[in-house]
Amino acid sequence: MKDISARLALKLPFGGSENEREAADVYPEVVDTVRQAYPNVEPSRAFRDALHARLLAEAAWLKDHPVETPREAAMRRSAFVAAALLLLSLAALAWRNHHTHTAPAQ
Amino acid sequence: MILQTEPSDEAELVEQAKADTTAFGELYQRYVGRIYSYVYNRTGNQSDAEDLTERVFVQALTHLRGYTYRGLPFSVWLFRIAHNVVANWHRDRQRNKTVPMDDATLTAEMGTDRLEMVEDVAQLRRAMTKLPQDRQQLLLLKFNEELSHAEIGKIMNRSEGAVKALLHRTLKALKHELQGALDEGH
Repeated sequence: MKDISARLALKLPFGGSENEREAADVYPEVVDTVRQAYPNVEPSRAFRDALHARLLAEAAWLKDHPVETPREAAMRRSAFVAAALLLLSLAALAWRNHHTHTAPAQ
Repeated sequence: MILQTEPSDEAELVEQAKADTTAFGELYQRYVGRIYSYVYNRTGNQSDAEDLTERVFVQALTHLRGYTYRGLPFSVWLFRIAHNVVANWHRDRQRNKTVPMDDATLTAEMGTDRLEMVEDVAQLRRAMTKLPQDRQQLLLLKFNEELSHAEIGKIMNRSEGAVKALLHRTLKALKHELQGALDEGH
């Protein structure tokens, strides 16, 4: 009887050279076996249609309630921090001016 | 609700969907088969495959505005989401098995005249399930989806060189597993 393990294993000879790292492209039989082991599976029509309907409903909702992208969120946070720093600076400036002008004359 | 026109260019289609999320249906129809098949092969059952495929597309729709083309095809972006969803699923379940389809199913699918191939397939699947999840995923992305090393790198968050090296180690490990099976048989 033909030994399957040996036959498959022999299709994967390795030594470690750069060329052998590309073995996947060189041994189509192994590639073909992997494809046979994990064949293309189509979703059922009912599932496709149900998910399509759900996505359309989600899309309609998102149209009215857009989700913030990470970039937008970062920009919003930056703007908030900048505004807070500006307010703090102004407050500090006002406080210093107040104390300078109200300090008793020497 | 789906696009009335059919732009041939994927990037254009994505831009339309970003401007009007209801146009996402066209992208969905284009990729649902590939994503479902990939997820099915990683989970091994229809119920989980449907659940995870749904998560992938809902996440993609929700975060579509955050996607920018920049040479990264939309399909690769979708596979990256699928990769993360499946990885989380495996982590949650703490199991290290894929594809519980029995050999009889495969035999029936292939026909008796290809018995040798069926035996190879069964042997290979047994060996592959012993590999870590990320390596199984790599083999599917490389051989089934025929993605480039660079694209797989984007999906798995690794450099192109790291993917090549991982593929090398994976095939070597696969060979080791097959030889182990051979030794056990003797």
